[in-house]
Amino acid sequence: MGASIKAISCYLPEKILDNDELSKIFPEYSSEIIFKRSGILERHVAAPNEIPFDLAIKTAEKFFSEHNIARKDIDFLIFCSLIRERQAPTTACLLQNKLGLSTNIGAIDVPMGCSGYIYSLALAKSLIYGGIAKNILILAGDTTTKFLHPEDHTLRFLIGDGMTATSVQYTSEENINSFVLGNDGAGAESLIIKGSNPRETITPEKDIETTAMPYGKLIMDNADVLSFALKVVPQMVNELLQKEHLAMKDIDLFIFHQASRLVLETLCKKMNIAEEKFFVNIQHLGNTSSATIPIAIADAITAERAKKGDKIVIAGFGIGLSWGSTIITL
Amino acid sequence: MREFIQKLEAEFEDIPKGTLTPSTKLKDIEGWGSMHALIVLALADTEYNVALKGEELKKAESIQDLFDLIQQKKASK
Repeated sequence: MGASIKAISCYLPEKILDNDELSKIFPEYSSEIIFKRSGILERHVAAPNEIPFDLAIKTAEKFFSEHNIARKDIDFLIFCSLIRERQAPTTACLLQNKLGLSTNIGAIDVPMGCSGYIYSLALAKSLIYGGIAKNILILAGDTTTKFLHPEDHTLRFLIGDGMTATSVQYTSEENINSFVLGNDGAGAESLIIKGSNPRETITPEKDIETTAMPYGKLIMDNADVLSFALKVVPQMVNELLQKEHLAMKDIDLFIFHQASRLVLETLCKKMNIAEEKFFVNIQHLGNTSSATIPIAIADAITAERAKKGDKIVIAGFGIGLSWGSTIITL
Repeated sequence: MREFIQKLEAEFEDIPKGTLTPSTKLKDIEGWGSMHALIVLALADTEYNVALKGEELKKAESIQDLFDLIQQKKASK
């Protein structure tokens, strides 16, 4: 008996931002150069008034229509996103009502980014092991584009929005295995939302930025983040394989957080992973934060890159700095 | 050094082959940007097993500086 992922649904905002449109905004970069630099052809971007709360409602409705899982049976809701509907009440609580879920359920927010999906799975598994819940719905994703300064071409080339719904249930056979988790707050400044802390001194320059950017502004030191990923991801995967008494060759597919093409290509090379065992779908989505891993799992199944019985390493890493991974058996 | 330059040129798709020399200043390379610094960081890690920091990379002014930085880090391991 144990915890298993039973179903995944994904939702992407309607608006597609392609390289031609970006090239019009940043005329010094042609569409070809944008693709060459980022490895991304298009990203989905939430509407001006659309936040993760809105995407979560659409995603959950899609989930209930796609899968034979009744909303009355959901007994715990986890909402994982950096942007919540407001400071309080929790967005998960508001979603319980909007989605017509039972009032006899637990509902919490997990305010995490790129590693958030793994942490939500770890939490769901613990709730099952603790006998607290049997049928958990995880809504994970973000509208990271809200944090992007309009003139920050590097991040606007990279980032997309998206939301996902995952069902984790108490099952006779388990498909969510061991976890390796890690955090290092000393690296916080490498990847941070500036202007989101009320104690930050507001200088006139910052005032202009924060007034125009109500959610704050995402700052990323690309070199620091690349070094971080190259350091922690191979270590974390090794530790995970040891925990499960498995070798690299026993793994059928590696699905890493779709951070950027360069991060993914370098990790694949450094870890000696064969290309056919390494899943990349960043070209049509960009980096969608906590949504990248569940979207990639769903895409890998659709593309027949993953089949029943496959062992898949999933690994998230990013803002915190925070990281986590597990092995799922399809 | 020759091998290092060949590896760099193989990674920098947008820089014509045969244009880099040890004394080439990074700022004089047409189109040189933060992306290229990241590629150097990735290359140092995968090809030389050396973890460079962003701030160390920012101090390098020429191809020779990059080469020396990697050699120095490799020696101090």
